[in-house]
Amino acid sequence: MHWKQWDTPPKYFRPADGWECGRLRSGLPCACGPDAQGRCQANQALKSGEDLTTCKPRRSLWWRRRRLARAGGLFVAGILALIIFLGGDKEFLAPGELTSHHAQILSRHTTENRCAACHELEATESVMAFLTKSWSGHAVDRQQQSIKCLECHQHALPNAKDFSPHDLPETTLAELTRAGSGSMRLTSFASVLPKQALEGNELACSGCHLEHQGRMHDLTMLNSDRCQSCHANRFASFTNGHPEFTNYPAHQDTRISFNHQSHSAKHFASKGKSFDCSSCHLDESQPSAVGPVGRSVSYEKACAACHDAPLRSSFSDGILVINLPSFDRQKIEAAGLTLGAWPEEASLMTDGTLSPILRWLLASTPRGKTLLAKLPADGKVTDLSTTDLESLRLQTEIAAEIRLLVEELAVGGQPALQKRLSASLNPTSNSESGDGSSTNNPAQVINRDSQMISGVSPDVFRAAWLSWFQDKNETIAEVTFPKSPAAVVGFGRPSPMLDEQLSGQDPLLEQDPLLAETPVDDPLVAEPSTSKASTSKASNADPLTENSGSATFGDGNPAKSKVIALPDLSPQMHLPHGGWFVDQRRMAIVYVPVGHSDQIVKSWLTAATSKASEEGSSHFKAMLAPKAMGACTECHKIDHSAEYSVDEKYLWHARESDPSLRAFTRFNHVPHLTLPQLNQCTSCHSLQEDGRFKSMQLQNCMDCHTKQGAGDSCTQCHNYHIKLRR
Amino acid sequence: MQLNVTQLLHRPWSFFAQRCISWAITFLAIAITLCCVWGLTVRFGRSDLFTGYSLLGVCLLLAFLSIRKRMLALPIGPVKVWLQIHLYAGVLSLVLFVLHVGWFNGGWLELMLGSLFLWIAGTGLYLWYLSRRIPKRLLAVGRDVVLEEIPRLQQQHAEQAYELALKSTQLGEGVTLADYYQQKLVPYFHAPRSLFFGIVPSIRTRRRLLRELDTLDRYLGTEGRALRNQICDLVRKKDELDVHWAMQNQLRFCLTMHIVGLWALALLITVHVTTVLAFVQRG
Repeated sequence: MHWKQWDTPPKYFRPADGWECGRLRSGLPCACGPDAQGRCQANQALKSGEDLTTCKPRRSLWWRRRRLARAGGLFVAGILALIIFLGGDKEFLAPGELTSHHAQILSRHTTENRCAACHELEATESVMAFLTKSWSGHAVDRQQQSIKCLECHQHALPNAKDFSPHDLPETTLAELTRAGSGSMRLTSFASVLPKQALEGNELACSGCHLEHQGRMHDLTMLNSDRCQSCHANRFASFTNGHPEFTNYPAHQDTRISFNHQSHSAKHFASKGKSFDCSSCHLDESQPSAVGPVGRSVSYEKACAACHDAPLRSSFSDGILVINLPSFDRQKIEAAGLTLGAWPEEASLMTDGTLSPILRWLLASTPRGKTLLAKLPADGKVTDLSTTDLESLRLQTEIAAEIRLLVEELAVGGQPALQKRLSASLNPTSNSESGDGSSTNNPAQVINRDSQMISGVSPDVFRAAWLSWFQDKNETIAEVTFPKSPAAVVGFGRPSPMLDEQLSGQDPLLEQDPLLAETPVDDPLVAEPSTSKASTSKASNADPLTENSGSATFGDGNPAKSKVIALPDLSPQMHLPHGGWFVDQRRMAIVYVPVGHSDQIVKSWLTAATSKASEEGSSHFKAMLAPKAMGACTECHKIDHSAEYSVDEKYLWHARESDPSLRAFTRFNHVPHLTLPQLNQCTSCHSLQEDGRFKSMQLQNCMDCHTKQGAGDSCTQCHNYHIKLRR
Repeated sequence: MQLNVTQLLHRPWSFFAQRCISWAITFLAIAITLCCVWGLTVRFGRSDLFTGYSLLGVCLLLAFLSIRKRMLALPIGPVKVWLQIHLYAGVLSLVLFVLHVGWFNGGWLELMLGSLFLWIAGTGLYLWYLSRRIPKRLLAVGRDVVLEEIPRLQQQHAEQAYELALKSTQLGEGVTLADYYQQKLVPYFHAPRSLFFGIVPSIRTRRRLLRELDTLDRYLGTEGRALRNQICDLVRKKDELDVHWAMQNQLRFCLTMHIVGLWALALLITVHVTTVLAFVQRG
């Protein structure tokens, strides 16, 4: 029977079966349909006598849909199998591209090494091996990946290795928390969260810096709410609850004394000059439109115009290095003591003061230190008794010690001076080594010591010795001066001391005829003599020391020689650019600084600062007294705080921002100065009466820094990774 | 009148009430998810793991509709309820997906997985839209026909039209109707409709044919006009069947597209979860 003969159309459709009648799409399906194996059941109907034609059953839509889904799954499985089992590219597993910064660093790595650069896996490890090992209980330190980050970033973030908040020690954090904690303001949803999100060193780099977020992802972006979750004092936003500025910009010591208020209202006003901030604090040499703002400015640019002349004036007389006090020879000899070789001009009465540097040099020996201990702390000999035998003996001993010092310097030159200076600075060091170093940085010490003596010629000490102690005492004969009498003053001649040292050390120089005891072939050494008598004789013949008021040039024959009158040396006249000289009027070896930034004075003061706090260092303290060393201390100060090392306590340079440091707060002047209402420095920085700047007010920033305005996120002004000086 | 909980649960809810409750539950789930993600984010927690596990759970819930269809004996509610759960869980899964992935940043595995998920979600949403739109249109058509019956009914209408055209010649109405049937109605009744009609079914063809049949009146007598009216009725029925065919096939096609990526998605999810947990363990 055909379906058209039925009263009702067939109702039995089985869409969830795997087969359907072959005639279904032609609109003539049979009522029975195919069986589960896809066989037409019309044959069975024919057997039972029904009039049905057979068909070829077709796969149903449901079956084909399911097959298609499985085929899609198999296709993907095939791709994954190829990658996983055939050792394909591990980067296939990467969840996204690296940021451009990391990508360009790793671009030179091979594909295998790129993943291993940051992840704890071996470069040759296949994807399957990696997955298998990961799931086989491989113990892993949670911070391993962060440690890999710091392999590259440890230079910029040296303190991040502890993974402590803000890279700060626990004690510092606790102090900051105590200082900053106040009443919690429940103005943010973040405020209702538990106080501490993470404990101790659980903070991994990836907690904030999430990689594989695309090439343009900002790795340093940090949600302000994250800051709130850890901080004790929470607030809703910068404009709502941020603590008021109490000390910003920080009232840091500028290290150089400079009073903006007095300069503005008094000094500049008296000269009719305008006190323009930008003239000092804006560096026009920078290519930026407004130029970067500098905290400090050089002496030459800002100060020299007014302060150079007074500064040079303060150095006009020079600094006494070694000065001879006056002793009363008559009373000393009347007491049965011997003063020894001592200038007649300094032998009339007991008077004078040992200069601080002389005391420094004398203190380099135990005997000198003992003698100085008997003197008043200020080094004055004026108050020494001239009737007391012990006092008179002290005077003779001091004279002998000074004489010995000058002799030593005349013979030894710079090394001897360096040895003396270093011995006082580093009494525990090996004096034989000559380096005088007891610190961990010998190079720094050597550099400092060499600065202290740079430029001083041994001729100065020799001239001083010859003019002060010549033929005055038998001890002169004990001083062994160089081989050549002509070398006593030695202008332009190589140092015989050097020859002597070299000849004893270098075997090649042993054969050098120039170093022979009697270089008869050398016309320059016409009368070789190394005897003490000859030395003394030659010294006596020195025209410079014979008569301080005149000099004879030529062969000594008055008929052929020209005699000129030599005036006393005056630092203003003869040494306007600084240097060493023997001041016969003051009986002193004097150093005249070259002006501002004189390296010798700087090194002396720096060295004195490092020892000034020690017991028995009155001479160092005296060097640091106002005007003791010119006008240095009027502007440059000493900071005894622990912020600076021993050698940095004398503040030579203005405080400058160290690019290697990262303070908690940062500020960039450049974008602010482009605003018309802020292009005047005084719009934010106003002065107090004492010359210091007033702290800025929160309102100064709040006008612009709103969420809709210039932004109010924490990281806009604050650094997370902090690197303090110490 | 006291109303206990059992009565409340068995109370027949209106369709609107059901939809409101479903959306309310969905939005509540989304709100809770957002709060959890925000809380974890600001407290340096692993919000990505939270959204990942949540998404995995929701995906399993979505897959349960298919399981429910196969396991009819399970006493876990009718398929109709599970279909509603499937729809609203699908919305939640999209929110979780956005929270979990954010934006595609490259990475082949992630790109494949994300694209496949979006494909399935997109076809699902379109299916949802069709399931809301098509019944209204089919209701307007006025018949309730099973897709599998349509070919048979189309064949039936075609044969009836043939017999009417043949009858018009036997009743002495000339060959007007027969010629028109031969020229215009044979392709209409026997040939499948165009692909464009399958995508955007319209009644333009039907209108044109009926208008043309009306113009034949001046050539027909009374009996011929009666036959013409019967043919017009068959044209309308054929068009209604075609609309049914088109719309139901749209649903079937979209369902096929929705289902075709499921195995691949399940496989990629497995690889993704395995890899992520491996990296979580290894760092």
